[in-house]
Amino acid sequence: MPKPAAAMMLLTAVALAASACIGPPDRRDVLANLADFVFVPAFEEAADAAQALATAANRLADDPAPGRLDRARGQWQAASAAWAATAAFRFGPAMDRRSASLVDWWPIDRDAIQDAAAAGASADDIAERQSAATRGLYAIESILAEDLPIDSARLRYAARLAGVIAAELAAIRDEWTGAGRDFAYADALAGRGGTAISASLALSDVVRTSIFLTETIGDMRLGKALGVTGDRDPGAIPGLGSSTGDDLRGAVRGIRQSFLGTGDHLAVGTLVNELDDNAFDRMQAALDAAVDAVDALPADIKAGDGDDALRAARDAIKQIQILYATEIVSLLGISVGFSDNDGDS
Amino acid sequence: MSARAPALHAAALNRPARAGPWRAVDALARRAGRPVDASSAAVFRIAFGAIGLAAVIRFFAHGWIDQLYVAPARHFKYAGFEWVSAWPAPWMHLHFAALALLAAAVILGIRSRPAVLLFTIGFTYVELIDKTTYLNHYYWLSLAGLLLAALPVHRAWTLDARRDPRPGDGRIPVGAIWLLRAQIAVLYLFAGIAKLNPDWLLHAQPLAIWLPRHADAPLVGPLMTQPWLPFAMSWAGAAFDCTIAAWLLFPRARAAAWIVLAAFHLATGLLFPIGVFPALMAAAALIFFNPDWPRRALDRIRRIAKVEPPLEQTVKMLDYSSSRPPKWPARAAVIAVALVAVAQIAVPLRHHLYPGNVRWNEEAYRFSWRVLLTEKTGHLEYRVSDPATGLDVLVDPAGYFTPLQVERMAHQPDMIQQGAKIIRDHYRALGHPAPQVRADARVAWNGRPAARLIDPEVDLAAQPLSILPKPWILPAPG
Repeated sequence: MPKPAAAMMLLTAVALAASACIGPPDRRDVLANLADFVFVPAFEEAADAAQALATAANRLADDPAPGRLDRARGQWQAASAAWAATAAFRFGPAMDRRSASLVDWWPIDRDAIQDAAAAGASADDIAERQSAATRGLYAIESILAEDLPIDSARLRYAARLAGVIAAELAAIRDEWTGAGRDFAYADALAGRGGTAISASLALSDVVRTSIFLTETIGDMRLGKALGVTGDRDPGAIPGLGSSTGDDLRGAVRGIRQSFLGTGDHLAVGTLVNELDDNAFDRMQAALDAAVDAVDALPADIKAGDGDDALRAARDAIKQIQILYATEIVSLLGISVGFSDNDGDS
Repeated sequence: MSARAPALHAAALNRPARAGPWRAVDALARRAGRPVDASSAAVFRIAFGAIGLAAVIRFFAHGWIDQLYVAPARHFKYAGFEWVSAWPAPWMHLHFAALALLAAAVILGIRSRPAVLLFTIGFTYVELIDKTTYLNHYYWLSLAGLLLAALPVHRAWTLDARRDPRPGDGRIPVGAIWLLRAQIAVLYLFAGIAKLNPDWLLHAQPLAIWLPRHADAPLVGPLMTQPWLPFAMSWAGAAFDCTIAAWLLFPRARAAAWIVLAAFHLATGLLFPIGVFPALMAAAALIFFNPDWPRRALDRIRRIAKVEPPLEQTVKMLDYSSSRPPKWPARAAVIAVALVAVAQIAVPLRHHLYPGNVRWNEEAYRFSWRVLLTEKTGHLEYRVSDPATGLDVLVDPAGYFTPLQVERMAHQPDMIQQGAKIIRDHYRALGHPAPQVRADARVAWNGRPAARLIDPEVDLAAQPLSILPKPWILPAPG
């Protein structure tokens, strides 16, 4: 080979290698950071909080004293908030296990809950045979919201519900971390070990979950509460009292975390910023605005006097949805739908 | 002229007209009628059938027959083809099974011309069911199928010719080869012209968006994030599309040009989900080689393998130059070809009749060879109101259409309008006498921030469905 040609090839190879070293962040690195610093900690916190709720609920059932009721209510708030914070990360194990029907089904059926409590439904009955409307965090809330003295069968039922939730969240955590298993979903996401999920598919899961969540909150929750996406339904937002709206706040924070990450760690936004810093800035502003808007929701949304705040929150969340579903998916090369049909235009 | 005689035949016009307007036509017909070896046209026919068969098999394998045609409750119809509907299951599956058999018949050469005609009609029927599934290369397949059905491509390498050899077998008018080449050239040329725009050349869009998606690919991954690569590929792609047909026509460059073409399509096939398109074009472009290249290649293989040629090849090819078919059929063929040529040039250029940027408003976008040209994603929400009943509600199109339909309609104004009318009809059926349907459509286009595509104040359901310019489409963002 002539010397100039060989030199050119060598230079090209060196340039490529150098640019590879200083190039933009790898999708796999982003996924590893998200898994290690956002997703796994969130599910660990949710599992811990659910276990603490189960403990508090059992103690309350054993001895229904006012202090124990307050403690159980406090643990319920913590467990509910921790679970809500995972809403934007419920692909993979939580999706495969269909955990939502065990953990936070809404709306609940109070009569069916009473029947199940009176019948002394076991943990297996709850997990395997009962309707989703009789279980989950909101079913527990409906019992803990009562004043003492509370029927002991109902307290026992609440404790069993909390135990089922704690077991479910522990299972999700273990699937993420691989505790006691050969396979850790976090490793698969991060590309570690022998079973890696395609980085593109994994990133699609992360982004699609956020988009789906904004759609759910905007249309199914806030939209219905306002009556703009169907008949007005004040009960469209999950929760029974002062907790109403907490899951929206947790979910929006989760969407923000998925995009911005924690601390200096990489996240979806890192990739976006590399490709289009203007789009990143607008998304960051939209996320901040949405967090502010859901924080401004009144404590008891069902009172019907918070329409302006609801509308502002819906608009802010729709803005995230639009940015995600148009510019961000375009930049990241993610298909929002699930079709594998060809395209050539 | 017998049914087996050439459509365009030199002998029909072997004496030039002395004068008058037909002189040039006769001269062209005379040149187009020169018989040449039909084996490259046979390869084209076989490739057409094989690609058609592969396309049909992919429909079965991916479950697209159900997903795209049977499952959707509603389809987006083409103007003038509202009568085209998907068959109910299992007839749609049988339709595709019939297409597979017809494609096999085309490959084998069993009643080639009726088979290719029926395949093309059946395939085009499927494509006309729903705008959602429009693909440039399916449109090309339909055009090429019609062309094949009109040309005497049954003359070589068919089971029919083997069973029942006829005079003229193994030969075809050179005009048929020209037409097949032209059908390919028109795709590349207009695809190239469409790329001569600032987004493509100055901003390397949409390749600047598409290539980094492959950053995780083995070996070439790091290359995909290099900022110069989208520019290099954009310019190279535009140059390729604009000139490849000319290079293929130039004998000295032909082999190298075809290798470049094959490499180009291999690369695009690996990078983008474009189905059978790369194989289709790489195979079809072989028609640019000398008409007898397959026969010579086969002879060479036979010599190497020391195999005797089959009986078919020993059948003497008759020379028609001594016969005199009538002038007017040849003239009519030339005129018909000219009209088709005008149509094929006019259709891709018809967007100039519409105001605004065709890549934004997509008016006259389809059937124009705008191949891999634009990255668009949209978000669509309808607002349905009826002053008479106090109805005022936001409607997610996902409640009416499949995910693929929603994804495609979100940035295509004509589909957004059709969706509005479907939703209007639904609300009418619910008892609202005069529903108005407006659209909030935000579209991100070639890396620009999302912008409104449709005037949100316009009741789309009240606007007429037509191919005329749509004043309710907002201007493209800068």
